[in-house]
Amino acid sequence: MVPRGRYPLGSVPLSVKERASMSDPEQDRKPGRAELSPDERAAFERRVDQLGDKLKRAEAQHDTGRQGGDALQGRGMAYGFRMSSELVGAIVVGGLIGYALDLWLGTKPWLFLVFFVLGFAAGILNILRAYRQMQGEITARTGGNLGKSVPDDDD
Amino acid sequence: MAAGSAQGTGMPDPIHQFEIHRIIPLKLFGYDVSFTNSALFMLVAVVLSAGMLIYAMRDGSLVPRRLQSTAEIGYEFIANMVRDAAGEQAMKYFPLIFTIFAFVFTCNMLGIIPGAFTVTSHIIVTAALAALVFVTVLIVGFAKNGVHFLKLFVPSGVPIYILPLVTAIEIISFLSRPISHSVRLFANMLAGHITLKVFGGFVIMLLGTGSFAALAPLPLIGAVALTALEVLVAFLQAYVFTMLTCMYLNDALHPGH
Amino acid sequence: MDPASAKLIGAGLAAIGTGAAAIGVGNLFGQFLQGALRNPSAADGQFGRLIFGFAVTEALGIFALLIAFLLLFT
Repeated sequence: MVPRGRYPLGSVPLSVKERASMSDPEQDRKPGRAELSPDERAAFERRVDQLGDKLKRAEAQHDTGRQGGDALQGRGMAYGFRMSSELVGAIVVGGLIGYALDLWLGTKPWLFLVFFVLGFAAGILNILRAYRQMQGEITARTGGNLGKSVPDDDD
Repeated sequence: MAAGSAQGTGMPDPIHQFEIHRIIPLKLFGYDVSFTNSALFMLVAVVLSAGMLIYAMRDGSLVPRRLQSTAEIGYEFIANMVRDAAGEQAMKYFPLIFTIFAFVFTCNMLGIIPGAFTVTSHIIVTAALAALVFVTVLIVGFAKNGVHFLKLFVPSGVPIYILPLVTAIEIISFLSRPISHSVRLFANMLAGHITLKVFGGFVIMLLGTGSFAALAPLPLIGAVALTALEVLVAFLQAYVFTMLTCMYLNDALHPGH
Repeated sequence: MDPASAKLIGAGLAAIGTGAAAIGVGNLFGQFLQGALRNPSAADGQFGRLIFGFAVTEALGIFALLIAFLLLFT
């Protein structure tokens, strides 16, 4: 809330809506002063857009330079936790399936061996997917800045 | 500590903290459904997380105060995660995902309080949560896509002669999800708490050795530092658990890729 | 020695191989990161080779684990 004491009695500040409704008739009377010609307006909008782009680029650069590493640290740890269990989980499932099939069919070690290796392949697949996703996330976050070399002295 | 001591070594038993004991014994249809300390802490976690959110949003003012701001940050965090990982369609399942996050996070955080029981350090709890997610994904997948959902196991563009092999690998990969989903949370919480307890045990052991008692603050400092790490791990594990839930849901909603 | 206990000891010895594979995997990713930081633009192109190396290294560790399991369960 606006502190009361700053305004003299009787001149409580108007809300935005009230102010807009008050200024409307004034604009109707004098169209020449506030209006821009279409060309000027387009030029102005273009300049605003350019400025916005510049700002975004500068912000992105700023982020990757300073805060990017900090924000990615927790994510990196999260991915590390994920991948280590991803591989083990797939191998365990493969081994269990093979062992169960062995018990059922009476082919003692063989199906276990086959499914263990299949489980390993599934684990590698899991890791591959997680890695792809992590790479995509890093690229999205840093605007692909990680994949470009720093300009050399020779360039 | 007499009950929790390993035979005569003076080392406090690090496993003792995970023991479940009955508070209100109860039998129903031949099953033991006693109210245990595990159930107590689950109840505390549910009441705490739900109560905090309800209390924080009691005015629902446009300009949030401190507590409301916290609740909104949590909401936004999970909502953004769901949108990023599973798309706008998945917002239908936001209540489930947010509930899972709130429950796991609160349980993990409660566990760090010394003397408290860590619900998520029991694999049966995390396995139940993972199974809930797994079954939800299966139901949503088949309800949304029908038989088309099975295309998840048959990647396109694979030569016919290695297709059975690839399909078997994909099925194992799919089945490994609830295992790795549950084991990760359980193992991280269990290992972290055992480490904390072992470091705490070092302090007690050193205090009992006479002149070496001067070294006792060293493991204490270690335990304090590890507690800070455990807070991070508690959050990260809840985050990873929720994140993977979103990704599995994404597979159920869009099985094409 | 009792054959059963010899089996258990053998399983334990075989499991050492997984630790060796862990050294290999750590080396692999460490070296990859080192190379990637020196020349980030080339890092993405070597992703396939990284995973190939990881698979081969880890496979050897998995074989050791497999032998351990075979000794334990058959």
